[in-house]
This record gives sequence, structure tokens and C-alpha cells, in this order.
Amino acid sequence: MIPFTFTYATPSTFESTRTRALFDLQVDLARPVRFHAKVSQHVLPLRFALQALGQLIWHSDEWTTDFWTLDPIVTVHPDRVFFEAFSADQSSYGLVIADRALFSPEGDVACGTTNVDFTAWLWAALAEMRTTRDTFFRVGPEGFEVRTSGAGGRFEQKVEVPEAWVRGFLQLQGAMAMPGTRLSLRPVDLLAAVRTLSHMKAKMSPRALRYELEPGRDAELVLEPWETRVPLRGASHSFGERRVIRTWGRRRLRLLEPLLPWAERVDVYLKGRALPSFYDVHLPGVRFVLGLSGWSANRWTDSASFDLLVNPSSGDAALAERVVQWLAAHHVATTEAIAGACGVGAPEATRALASLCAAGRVMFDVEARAWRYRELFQSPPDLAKLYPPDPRREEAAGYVARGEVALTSTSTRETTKHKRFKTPDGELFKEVVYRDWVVLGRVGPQAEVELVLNDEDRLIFGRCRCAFFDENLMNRGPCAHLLALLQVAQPQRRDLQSARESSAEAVAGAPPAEPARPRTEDEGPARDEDDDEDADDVDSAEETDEKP
Amino acid sequence: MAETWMMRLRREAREMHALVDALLAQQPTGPALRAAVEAAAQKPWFNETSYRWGPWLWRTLQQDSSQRAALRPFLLAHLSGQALTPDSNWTGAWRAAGRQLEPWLAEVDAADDVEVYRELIQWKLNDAWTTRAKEWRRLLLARLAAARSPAEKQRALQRFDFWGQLDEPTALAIFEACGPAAGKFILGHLPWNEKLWATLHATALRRHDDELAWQLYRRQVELPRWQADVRHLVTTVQDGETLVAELEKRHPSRVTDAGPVFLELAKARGHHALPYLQRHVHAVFPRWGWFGPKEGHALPELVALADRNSWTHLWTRLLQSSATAELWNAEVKRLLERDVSTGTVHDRLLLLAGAGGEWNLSGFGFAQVQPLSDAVACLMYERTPALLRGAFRLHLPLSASNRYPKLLGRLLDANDEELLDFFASRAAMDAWHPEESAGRLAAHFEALSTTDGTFARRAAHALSMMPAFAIWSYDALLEKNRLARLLFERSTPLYLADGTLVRELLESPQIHVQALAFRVLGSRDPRAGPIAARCADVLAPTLLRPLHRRTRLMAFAALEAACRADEAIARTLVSKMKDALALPDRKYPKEELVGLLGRVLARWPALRSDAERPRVYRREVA
Repeated sequence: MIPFTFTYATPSTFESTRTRALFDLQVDLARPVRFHAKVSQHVLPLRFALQALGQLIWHSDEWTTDFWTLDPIVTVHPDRVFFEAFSADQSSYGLVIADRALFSPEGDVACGTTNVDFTAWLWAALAEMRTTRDTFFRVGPEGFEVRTSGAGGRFEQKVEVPEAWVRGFLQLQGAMAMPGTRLSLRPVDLLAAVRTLSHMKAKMSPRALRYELEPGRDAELVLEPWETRVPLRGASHSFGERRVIRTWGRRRLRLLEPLLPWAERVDVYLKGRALPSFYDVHLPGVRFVLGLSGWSANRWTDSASFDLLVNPSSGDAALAERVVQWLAAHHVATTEAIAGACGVGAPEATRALASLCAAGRVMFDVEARAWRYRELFQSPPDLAKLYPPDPRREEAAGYVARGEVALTSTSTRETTKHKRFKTPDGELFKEVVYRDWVVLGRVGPQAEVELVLNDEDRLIFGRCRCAFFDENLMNRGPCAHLLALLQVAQPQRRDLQSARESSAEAVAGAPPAEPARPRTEDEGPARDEDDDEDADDVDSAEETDEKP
Repeated sequence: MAETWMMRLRREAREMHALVDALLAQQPTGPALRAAVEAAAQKPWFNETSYRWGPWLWRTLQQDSSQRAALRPFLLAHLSGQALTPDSNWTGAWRAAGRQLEPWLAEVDAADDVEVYRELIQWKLNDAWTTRAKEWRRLLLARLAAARSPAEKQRALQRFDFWGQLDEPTALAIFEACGPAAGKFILGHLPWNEKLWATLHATALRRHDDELAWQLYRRQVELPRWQADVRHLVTTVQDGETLVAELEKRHPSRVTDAGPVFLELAKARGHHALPYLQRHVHAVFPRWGWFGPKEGHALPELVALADRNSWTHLWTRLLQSSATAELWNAEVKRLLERDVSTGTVHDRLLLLAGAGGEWNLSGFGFAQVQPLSDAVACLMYERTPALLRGAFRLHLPLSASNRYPKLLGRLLDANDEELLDFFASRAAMDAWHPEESAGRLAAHFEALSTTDGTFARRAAHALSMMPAFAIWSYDALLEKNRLARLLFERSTPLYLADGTLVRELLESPQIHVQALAFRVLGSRDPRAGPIAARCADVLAPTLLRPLHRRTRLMAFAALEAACRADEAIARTLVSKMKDALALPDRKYPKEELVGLLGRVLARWPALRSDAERPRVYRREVA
């Protein structure tokens, strides 16, 4: 158990009169953050998003006596205000992102992260937020002395939550940064799927939610076991071959149901088969991100799951400290910007950021594709307790120590994209080269082990013939053999130039190229599409051999 | 003759056993295996025959790894210790199978399949219920004795980690064998209501396993021992922080009467013990006597002690969380009788307001709020009305036991709009005993001026304060509650006097208030259209929200009014109406939606798409 102690001056309150409403969130006195503002627009979307977050906090898909909740975390940044929470059953994560343009601040703003007192009663009281009343939003440590009609006294709340719960919260940061596929849906299509599921009860497996991506056609959502197809109009993708991504735990999508009628669009981030998925609901001025683990029972929190895909220890503590200090000063930045500022390559920066994520010191903003400074804890947690020794890691270390790991071949698989960059001097055309590194090798009793690392040294694909891989694929992280191969191969990677000159014609007219090899749904996560912000992107691929 | 339930049970049992016979005869493999067992699982009593198909399926999966990933969860989910024999008798699975399951158990054991072993050994133990606990402990100890390495000992514990109660000698033996790693297992199998296992507690302390020792203590300690230990700590530990830490270690998880212990502690160590006492005030709670609840032992003395020593926060917490409503009201009254204009009294009153405790669970929560009595509420209204309108409004729950007749009289005399609207919002939802309060408030609202908009403003304010899901039966409410009839049904056109009021109603979380707004906007009044157009952003989502058919039709009428008033609004709403046609809701009135769409397109022909333009065919003139 990890003890958390929060000290609040008074309970949070919601006060409402005929003309005025005040949403007063009391913060942990140990971590004072100050943000007093009038909500100048989009009061209703903010109300619905916060209500959805409250619903998530006490949501549980399981009948269990283990019921843990932690007060939500509020982060105030110069450009945005964030509210984060994790569900009681450790399988869903909620994030409300409110633009600062929604608020007209009053007085000084002190940016930072803190816990806020948030109760079921307060959640119900949020329903009194109205566009017809002047709504004030107050995040701060002001207590009894400044209140005129508040209630209650200073109180200290002590909460003990299991390591697994905290680990889950942290691991999903790693999952948010994982490469994947992004689809933009109309809210009504997702709502149709959610409603279908609420009308029909599947009493037998399979009970997956299947995203089917056919080349040249909009994506489709298939509900198992009835094989009911929900066309996702306008959900375009750039895959040159058929892709199928299955996700489970679809009942939790009902958390989004109250938001969808008010939404403008929904961005879905799929990380691969049975891997986490994120639903980013765009409301006017506010976004609600729902993160779901692969399935309800496969919680975020199982040790040796996602942390094996993203190693929690970077090994370079000095670099991590440099990164966090730079980010603390700038609040938000992309991997490239951080790498440039710290004078290291993107893979080193990514590893440092992943380890900071695992320690709760930074978060990944899946929507902005950027890292943000966010100290989850007042004092750093005991990482050794949070991430106990893992048998798979130990087994992998054993193979390496005994010299039972041999690389058969390594090659670089190039995927090029013609991209248009906007610069102060006009448009710039570049051919960007994404290099996946394909490694084949022999580990202990396994003669054929294959892994693919992306540009940022993230494991995006793996294959092994061991029983663990047979049963779980990559859903519970890589097997010991893949880990051992990764450990030996990673230091041998060489970096090459990643962009070449290109032209407007190439961007406009280059045909889509064949991918290196077909991929089935049972393989690892997909090629990263999250970065494909530019609609003019065109893929082409070639394979070159590179000897270690 | 119709089939009785017994005949049906016999038939289904026969059919299921025949199906299992066929399955065992066919021995399907590969994909056919999955199809066959999943089809069989759809039939009744499949789980209750698992003692027959279980061994075969388990062995098949051991050999066929391609099906194991898919069918192992199936196997674990369908194994059942209850058995239904072919002659439809209920019995345990182990008894039904005779000794046929022994070889399977041995194979499972040899294959180190912990999950299936756990299931089978439970079948076996349940067969002899009277000796179950003893046998469970014997088998566990035997398995531990045979285990050599720490890993094997952990596996042994995993095998027997299902329902069973330990006794102290067995727990000691497990602790001796596994050390601190056994803590979770021991705590998970403690018997209910057992006295403290002093030997194990002492052994764990000796072996520096503080976590087990103190968890055991907290779970099992009885009041006399705890009281004695607290007395000992009070005299031996001088440092305040250490005292609190030691008290926390020993705080029992089940306390029946902590009041006397807390009083003794507070008297002896005063402010040193305050953090501990404040954190655990819930351990003191009202008792039930012959004539209802009465104060917990020593609570009044504890409250008085806290008050004398100005331990304000302890005093507050005790009154909010541990006291009866009578004691809380008495303290509020005592403060009100002093000079309320002084800051100290005012602040103390504020401290007493608010929820004493909250329990937030999945989908619902409880809050402990002390109700003001009618007499004390009247006194507060007389001495400091702002407090009653503000922090203490929460403490005025209108219910069968709290009708507040005197307070209501004073409010009506003073024409206190804010509190009257609040009372009206609660009284208008009362379908059980609405006679007195709802009747008096209805008379007050009926007397308000309708011409200058006062009635509409006050009524909309009262309606907008109604919480969600608080009206059980709308029809019953209208039948019995005069105030509800006035606010919901008799005053509909009056709300159109001000568009802001209608929007206020639309944004209410209470669905009946929203329905009222839909009715208002859907009326034939010429003022409705422009107001509906201004509220289009709130009306548009009603096309996709889950609504009852009756409410949705009202919403359609409001949408139509909005579309009639403004072409630009109509353009936006038409596309949303077309979206709504994609919804799979079975009771969604799609015909009415198409009708609405048609009327909007008839009103604004420019919005028609090519396919929606009428085609007129004329005979060709030669």
C-alpha cells in the first residue's frame, strides 16, 4: 500500500444562486496551485465533461471488494487546464482538457499540479452549472478565512492505495505514447455502436469490438459475436492493405454515452490488438479523453505488462533530471524539441521521458502529441516497490548472461513520407524517412525470434514461438526471449539522416507504396499513424540491409 | 398436459447428458472443438455436467496448444462443483463422479495447473462438509511440508488459496514455513470473530514482520486489550508523533464502542492525540436504545472536553459525524443563543455546517448530514438568516419527519424568495405527503403576479433547483401534489415571457423539467419559435440523447419550432436529424422524425438535397 495524505482547507463546494455559480475546488495544501477564473464560454461542455469524469472515478465493471479511488488530479498550464482520474476498477482513465480560452482569469495564476477534493455529492451538484448564470471556477488553497458561506472545517484525508493502482495510473502514460492508429469518427457512429451494445447482450464469446480498415474505404466497426457492422462515415485511413484491430472491454464505452450527443467529433487512438485504446471526444472548447485497457480484466496495473514495452528505468538519471528541469520551465514540448534542448537524440530523449512518465513526473498529451510537466506525487514514489523485479526480465537477463542470445540479421525497413512543413519562410517540402529496425535472432531454446523497433526505439512488433507468446501475443508485454533479444540488439543500432529534399509534386502525386510485408491482426502494434497530421502524406517503403 | 418445472428439469438433464455423451464419443479437435463446446454451453445445465466433460476437455487442451488460449478461460468459467445427474438429482460434482475424478486430480497436480487444481480440490473437500476445514488445513500443511524451495511453498499456498478458515497452530506453521511471504495468505483466511492470536502476533513481531503482526492485531483485538494497550502507550510514550503512530498501528478495524477509550486518551494526552482522534471520529457513533438512537458512550463528555479546550476541529467532527441530530441541534442552539455577530460564534456555526462523512461507491454515494429541527431552524432564521440561506440550507431536508411548518410560516410572512423557492423545489417533488407544505407553497405561488413575470421567474428558479432522478412517478405526483400541478402543468405559457427562463429549464438535470421546456417551446405561441431558435444548441443533442418516446416527441415539437423560425438553424438541425436516423434504438420514433424532416424541408425548400426535391411527371404532349 502507498499512503497519500491530502490536506484541504475546507471541502470543495459548489454554490449556486439564481444569477451566479461558484465551483470551488479545494487543493491539497501541500501543493498549492491557484487558478481563479470566470468561465466565459462553453459552460455546458465543461459541465458534461466533468460529470463524465466523476462517473468514471466511481465506475467499476467488476463485483469486487477491492475498491480504491484517489482524488482527481488537476494540472494548470499556460495553455490548458487538465483534470485526470483513474477508475475504481483500474481499467479506465479519464482526462478532461479545457482550453484556457474558456476562462477569464482573475488575479495571479500559479501553474502546477495538485489533487482536489472531489466527492459524489459535488459531482451531483455540478448539474447546477448553467449558461444563464455567471460561472466562476476556483482552484486554490483558500480556506475558511476567505469564505463567506462555505461549510465545514480544515480536514486531512489519508488514503492508502495499492501499488498496482498507482502503477496502472503511471503505465497508461506509457501506453498513451505508444505508436498506433488514429481514426476520426462522427459521434453518431460511435453512439450507434454503444446503443447497439446496450440493446443486445452477448452471452458468449467472442465479444470484441473490431475495427476493420480496408484500403480506399472508410473504416468500419464490427460488433462481435453478431458481426453487426457500423460504418464509420468519414473515418479515413492511409493503410495500403487490410488491417483489423480488435479491442475488448467495450462496455466501458458507455462512459462516453452522455457526451456523444454534444460532441463535434471523436478521435480514436488504437494501439493494437488487445492493447489500450483512447477515445478523444471533442466538445466545444473541451476535450474528454477516455483511456481503456485492452479488456476489463487486463488492467493497466498488472506488473510486467506495459512497462516492458516502455522500460521504466532509463538508466541515465542525469539526462532524466535535465529533461524534467527543462520541461518544468517550459511546461509542454514535443520529443524533438526536448531532444534538441537537451542535446541528445530522439531515442535517448524518449527513454528518459518514458522513465519520467513511469515515475509520475511527466505526462503524455495524446491529443497534442506532446509531453507535459506534471508531478503526480508530492514526493517521488519508491520505484522499486512500484515496479518489483519481474520474472520475465530476470529470465531475459539470464539468457544474456549465459551468452544464449545471437543476432541472425538486422535490417532497416524504411518508410518514406512526403511531407509539407509550414515555416515562417513559406512551405518546405521534405521526404521524411521513418526507419523501423528489424532484428532476427536466436534466444535460448527459441531459434526464430523477431522484433521491430520504430524510430524512437519503441518495440512495435514482435514474434516468438514460445508458449507465453502463443497464449498472449504482445497483450501482456513481450516474452522473455524478445526482451533478451531487445537487450542485446538495442545498443547496436545506428542513426541515419531522417529527412531528404522533396517537392510539391511529390507530395501531391506520389503513389502509395507497398508495405514491407503484410500484417495480420494477431501481430504486434501498428505503424505509428498518430503523427500523420498532414492530409497530404503519402507512404512509400523500401527495405535495405544493414549489418551490425 | 403442460410440462411442469420438474418434468422440464428431468428432460433438460437427460438432454444435456446425451449431449455430453455425444461430445465424448465424437472427441472433436481443432476449430470444431471450440464450436462444439460453445454450442453445448448455450444449453441449460452444461456447467452442472462439468464433472463429466471437464477431464476430457482439460486433457485435450493439454495436447492441443492451438486451442488452449481460446478455450482455457472457457474451461475455468464453466467448471462447477454442483452436479446434476442424469436422473435430475442435485449433488456435489465429486460425489456424482465417484472416484473417477481422482486420476484427473493427480494429472492436474502433476502438470502444476494451479487454477484447475484449486477448483478440483474444492470439489473434493466440499464432499465432506463437516470435516472440510480440518481437511483443508491438513492438506495445506502436508503440501507445505513436502515443498523444498520458497517458490514451491508459494505454489503450495496458491493451490489452497480459496475459502477456508485457519486456526492459530496452522497459521503459525505456515508462518514458520514461509515467513513474511505468508502474511497475505494468513490474513486472507482469518476466521470471523476470533480472539487475538497472541502467539502468532508475538512471533511475527519477533521476526520483524510488522505488517502481519499489526494487521492481525487490528483485525482481531478486543476492546479490553486495546483499551489496556492504549493506557500503556499513554503513560510510556512521551513524544506526540510517536504516540500517534503507535495508536494508528493499534487502531482496531472493527470498533463497537471507542468513546470511553477516546475520552481517556484525550484527557491524558490532550493535543498530542488530536490528529489520531480527528481521523477516527467515525469510531464513535450513536447507539440504538428502546426509544431510538442515543449518544455513544462518553460522547457528550468528549464534546464538552473538546469545546473547553478549544479543540475546534475535533469538536466539529464529533458533532457532524458521531453525534445524534439532537446533540448537534443542541450545540447549534447554544451558539445561536449567544451573540451571533461575534466572529467566533459565526465561525463556529459555519464549522458545524456541511456533511459529516461521505461514502462514495460505484455509481452512488452517501453523505451524512445532520438535519436542523424546526425550532432551531426558526431560531437561526431569526438570528442569522444569511447562514440559513447559505451553508445551512443543506440541513433543511424536507421529508416525512421534517416538515418545518413553523419555519415555512416565517418564510411566508417574510416573503423570503430564496428559501421559499428552495422549499418549493423540494415540496414539488413530494408525492407522498404533500398536503401541508406543498399546499401552502402553492397558495403562495398562485398569489404571485403573472403579468410582471414574477411568477415565471420564481417558478423557473424553483424548478431549476430540482435534482436529477428525484421524481419517481410523474403522474402520481401530478395527481397528489398541488404545487407540482401549478409549476409543471398549469403555467406553461407563462414561461415564454423570458427566453432565459426557458433555457434555464432546458439545462436542468431533471428530465421532467426539461420536458416542460420542450412543451413550452413546442406550443403554438408565436413567442416560442424565436426562443427555440436561440436554444438550438441545447435542443439539437435531444435527437441523439436517450429519451422516452413521449419526451422525444415533445423535443421534436420544440425542434420544429426552432427550424420554423430560422433557416440557418434549420440547416444545422436537418443534418443532425439525418444523423439520428442511423441510431439503432428500437423505440426511436423514426417515422415521426421523418415527418419532422419533411415538414422542415417543406418550410425551407432550399435545404432539400437533389434526392429530396419532388419530381413531377407530366404526360408528354404530342
